[in-house]
Amino acid sequence: MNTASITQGHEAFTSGSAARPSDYFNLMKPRVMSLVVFTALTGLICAPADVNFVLGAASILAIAAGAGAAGALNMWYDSDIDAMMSRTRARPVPAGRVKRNDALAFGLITSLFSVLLMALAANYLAAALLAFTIAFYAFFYTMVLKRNTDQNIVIGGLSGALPPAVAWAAATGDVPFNAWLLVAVIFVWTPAHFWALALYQSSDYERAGVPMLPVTQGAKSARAHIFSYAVLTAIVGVAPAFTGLGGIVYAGAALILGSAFIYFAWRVLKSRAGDAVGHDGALYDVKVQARPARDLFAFSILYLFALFAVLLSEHLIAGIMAI
Amino acid sequence: MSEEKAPVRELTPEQARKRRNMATALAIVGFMLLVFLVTMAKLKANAS
Repeated sequence: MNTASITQGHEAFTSGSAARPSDYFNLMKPRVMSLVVFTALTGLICAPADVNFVLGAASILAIAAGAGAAGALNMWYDSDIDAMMSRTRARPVPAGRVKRNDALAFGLITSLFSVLLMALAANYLAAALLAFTIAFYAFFYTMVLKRNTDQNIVIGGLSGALPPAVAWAAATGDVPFNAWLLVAVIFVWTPAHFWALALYQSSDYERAGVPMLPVTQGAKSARAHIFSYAVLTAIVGVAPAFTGLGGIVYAGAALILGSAFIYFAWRVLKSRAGDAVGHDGALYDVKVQARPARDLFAFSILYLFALFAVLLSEHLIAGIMAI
Repeated sequence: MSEEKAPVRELTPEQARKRRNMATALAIVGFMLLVFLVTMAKLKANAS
């Protein structure tokens, strides 16, 4: 091999990509990652075990990296449909800042390191659960469910719900009923949260061919489903108060937040969010009364954050009082 | 009053590659440090 061919090979290897480190960070869906970290931290603190600070922090970091890796793998596989949707077309892969294969490699390597770190810092059960969570989201949800069924986010929601159980397993080496209860709260919360978004972004999903419920069954059916899941979420949200996981403050907060969640879902049910009313002289259908769906989507984030924040605070205060 | 966003400076592929290399190096050093700290914490827990 002569010098010229070596130089050409080097140029081919390094040319083209102007991706910044921040582009790779954005591949990890940082906003989703922050909610995952918060719910995992709640699981870790609620678990009845004295966790070493370094080991606890390493476990949370492993969960954050695992969630980010799953996000990167999702962006690798979904770059075609991301490019068609206004909400996602600025992501690093469809925008052309990161190559698809680079996103795949980044996702796989980060997955490997996150599971390895969890096995080192905690135990094999937590590492196995983390590996399952990543695989479930990146492969089962992204490659199978998302494009084939309108129950995609119902079943796929399990991956987003598992982090508290992973963290609990990291702390105690066990996943008892209360850990699964935290999983259940997030699992039943997910459909109302995502369908509210899908309701006012249904044209996006329709264009990309993603069978979200408002696209396959219509807005009216989606609104009814959202309301049903909101009621279910409010009920399951109170349950930790009856198993000893949550205290009196949690019970009150769950009741108030759950009632507000039902109220916002009721507004969606009574609205025409997601209904198309014709062209109105424009290129695209005009969606009317989308605000209730947007309000519910925004409140759903606050609901989960506040519910877990109260639970976390109760356990932190109880821990401080016990010292 | 409207705030004007500062334009993001475009990087040449060479500059971008240097930044990625630096970030990768920092991530590897961070991971090594983390493994060291985890090992120390585990040793301490087993000793006590």
